[in-house]
Amino acid sequence: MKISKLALGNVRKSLRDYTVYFLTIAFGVCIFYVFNSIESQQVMMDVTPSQQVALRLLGSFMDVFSILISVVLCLLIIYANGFLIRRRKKEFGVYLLLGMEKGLISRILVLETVLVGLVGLVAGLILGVGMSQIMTIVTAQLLNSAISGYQFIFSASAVLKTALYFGLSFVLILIFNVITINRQRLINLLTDARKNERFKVLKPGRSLFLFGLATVALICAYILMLQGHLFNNHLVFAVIVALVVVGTFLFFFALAGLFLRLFQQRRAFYLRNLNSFVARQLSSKLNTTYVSMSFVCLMLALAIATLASGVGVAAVLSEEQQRNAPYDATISIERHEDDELVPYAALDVLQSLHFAGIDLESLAANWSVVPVFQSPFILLATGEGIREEAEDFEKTTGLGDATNTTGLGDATAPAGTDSQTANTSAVADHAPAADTSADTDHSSVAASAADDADTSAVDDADDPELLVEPQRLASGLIRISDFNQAMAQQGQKPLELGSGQFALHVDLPDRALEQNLLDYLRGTPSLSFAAGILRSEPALLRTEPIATIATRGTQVDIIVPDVYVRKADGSLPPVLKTLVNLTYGSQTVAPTKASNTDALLQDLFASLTVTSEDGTVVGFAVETKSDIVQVAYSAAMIVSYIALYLGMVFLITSAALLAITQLSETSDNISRYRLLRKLGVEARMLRGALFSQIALYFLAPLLLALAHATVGIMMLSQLTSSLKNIDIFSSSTVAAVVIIVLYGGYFLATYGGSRSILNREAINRRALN
Amino acid sequence: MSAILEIVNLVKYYGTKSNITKALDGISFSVQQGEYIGVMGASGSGKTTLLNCISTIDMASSGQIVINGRDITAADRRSLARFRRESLGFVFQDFNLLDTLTSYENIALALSILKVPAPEIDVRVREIAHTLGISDVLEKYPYQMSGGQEQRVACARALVTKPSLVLADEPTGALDSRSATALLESFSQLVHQRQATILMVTHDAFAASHCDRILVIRDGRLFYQIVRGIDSRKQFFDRIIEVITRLGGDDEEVI
Repeated sequence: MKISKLALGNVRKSLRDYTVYFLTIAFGVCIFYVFNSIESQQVMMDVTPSQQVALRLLGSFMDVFSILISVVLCLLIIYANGFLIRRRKKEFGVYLLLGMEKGLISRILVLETVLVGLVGLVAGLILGVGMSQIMTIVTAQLLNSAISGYQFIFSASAVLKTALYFGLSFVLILIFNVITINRQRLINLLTDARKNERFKVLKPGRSLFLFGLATVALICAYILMLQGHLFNNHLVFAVIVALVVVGTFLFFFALAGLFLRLFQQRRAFYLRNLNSFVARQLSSKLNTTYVSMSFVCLMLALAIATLASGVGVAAVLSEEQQRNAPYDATISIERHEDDELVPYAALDVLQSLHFAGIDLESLAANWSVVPVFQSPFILLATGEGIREEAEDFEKTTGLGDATNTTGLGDATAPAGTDSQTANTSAVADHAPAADTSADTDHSSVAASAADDADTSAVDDADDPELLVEPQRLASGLIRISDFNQAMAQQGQKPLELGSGQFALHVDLPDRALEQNLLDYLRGTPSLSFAAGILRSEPALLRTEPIATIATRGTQVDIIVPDVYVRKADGSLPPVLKTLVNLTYGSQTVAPTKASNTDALLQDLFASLTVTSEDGTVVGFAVETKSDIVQVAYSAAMIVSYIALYLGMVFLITSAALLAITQLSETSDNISRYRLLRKLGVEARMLRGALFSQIALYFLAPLLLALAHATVGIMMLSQLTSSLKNIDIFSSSTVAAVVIIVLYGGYFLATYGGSRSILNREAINRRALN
Repeated sequence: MSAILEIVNLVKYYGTKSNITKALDGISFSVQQGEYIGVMGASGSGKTTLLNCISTIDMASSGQIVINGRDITAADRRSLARFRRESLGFVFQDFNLLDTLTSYENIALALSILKVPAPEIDVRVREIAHTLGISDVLEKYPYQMSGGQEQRVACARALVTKPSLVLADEPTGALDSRSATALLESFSQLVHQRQATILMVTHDAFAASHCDRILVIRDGRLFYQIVRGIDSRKQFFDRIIEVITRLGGDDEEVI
């Protein structure tokens, strides 16, 4: 009982040192709980099945990341705890001197640890449960779903998980503490506190040299990163990481000396007020803590990059996905075999649907049909750039018979162009809703075109895949009339081809691919079709999506004048897939609410198949805008929550490290500040010195971390297409708010804590009167 | 010569009404400019309290402390801080140098907080360092110096501002006899050359024998006063020992 009293008293006495420690545990627990209980928030929302899947996915992500997080937090707690123990060596020494046994001291320490841990855990959980109620609103907002009514959210499993993970951390700390105490010798405990600290500052020349070295290392790393070499290969990756880490360490190692010299050279400034004192304090602090400072800086950089890019990615994801859905729905008609597209003879979609008893007019106000034909050329992305290559149909096995020798086009010998121009009218066309009167005509024409297509051979043109090298860019042929129809439907300007020109179309290219394609077009490539040679130019690259599709690959299509989509014999080549884009309208017979039309479409096409004229059975796949948007919101939520989770924990960890190292030294500083007060320094000046000391201490790693993070984000935005359009400003605003609140909060807590210690003396003195 | 320090009926009580410790119980004396005063007394006699009250680190319960004609017991906190940095110099038993600063910076700091311009700081620091024989340790840190050097640096810091009054609390307490002698001789020299006024609290009769006048305090009151007059240091030392012995006879405590 006496021990518990002593332990409790100790905790209360060292509350100053423990405050930040305690707060950090509570924050850690709180964040841990909140993010692990997200799954249970759905009780308060109207969630669709797909959102439920997203929440479950997020849950499993959180499971994985929580392991990482708990390791980070555990290390932080062990470090902080070790720091506190070291500061209390003298106290333990006195206990030993008084004849207390080590076992008993260990027990006191165990009790203290358990006490602080337990209170931290409970406080964190209470805070977490409160926070998760607020988080629900944020989640609902992110998912674009409504709150169905307030309900108290409490996740017992998250509580258990939190208790388990943190419980384990504390067991580790207990073991660590007991070992620390048992290994101590009395003499060390008593003298350690008053060990002479050495304030060796590097010689100016040497610190300048090291600082230069650090700058060079960092600049090299930055350049390598910005040139996109980070993921080139493992060696380069290792070199860049090593450069950043070594550069950061050297930076802080040399900073102490350099910083001091810089101050001292401005003699008048250095000798004004307490400037020399502040400079010395800071440089000695940097000198002794440059290792943890570097860690803090690297962790901060990670936190900032995670927060900024995560929020940015989330915004871009939802924007990108909305862009991916230019139509209310797209029905793709395609055939898969072993995950590969199987080409089929071009068919008249309206006719086929009509036979199946489906009338598009009743479903949509406006539509377009875009068949993607098998192309005689594929584009290959090689190390030197993109080049075209005639598709070798012979090589691939397929359903084709002897007729495939007639070929689609000959890259080397274009012939018979004139004979085919007459057939252009026979090209399967589609009827926009505005042109209803001509509808039947179109259908008949289309039907004949389908007949023509019948004769063409069907080959197994393999779905373009990434070959080992060079990379095969999917290429199909799209007729310009189809393309422009699809563009008109989404209100985009039409593509205009000059005579003898072809264009390239790609959905969502990343920067590298877009650049490669532009380079390719700049080389004025020429493609020899059966109908003649086509050339192109950089202006003829189009990147608008031509369908509502959630996932986009590196599908590059060649857009040609309609007549060029002809084989030598004038027949249409087989089709890889046909896209039917729908825009719902109020005048449609079907229910006007988009989501109901969605459901209707899914019902209609789920099990529908059509047999094309060459006997291939093709199926339908429906993707709707609302699904894609919902998926986008879910993806955005997942990304932003993971970014917030990781970013916040890294941020708290680094800020707590700084705060603890600074606060625990205040006890040393007390004697210094007391002396300054005796020498007649005014309280205001003392506070100013304390403020600038702590502010600079917090600012130094933050500034370098900002540089790291900025370069990191720039690199990311270059590497990934989804980050290309990141709104750096808005995403960094969110990141800045989180950083200012958390990091700034820790800074203020540290300053407030240090100040209250200084003030306490003054108050004590006044209280005596 | 004018009185630089005038203590009138100074009282300092500690504790609550039920348990009062009378640390100072109505003590009065005055110090002239250029005087080298020693304050002696047993542990708990009130020496340190007296010093703390004069240095405005502690506040008296009643009575007056007049320094340079100004009653500091009536002053507010801010003007006290100004008073401390402008009019007082401190030398402590454990030197109390800032361990993160070099000797030069430690000395310069006292001038910095007085907002003395940098070029003048440099001149004054080098001058006082020369006087005290510490010119060669100016760029060293406290941990690199001997105790005697540290204490002389502390003296330099106290004197560089040319204070009206230097308060020294057991300045030789942590020094070996040779360093102590050197320091005390520096003090005497400063008093005579620069007309500095020093009030030194000490246990040590040898240290006290360098003073012009000794105040012996007991139970918070002025118990005895020994004036050196024309005595040699040896004679003065003997007289001090005599008084202490008498004091020890009356009191159980050994000084």
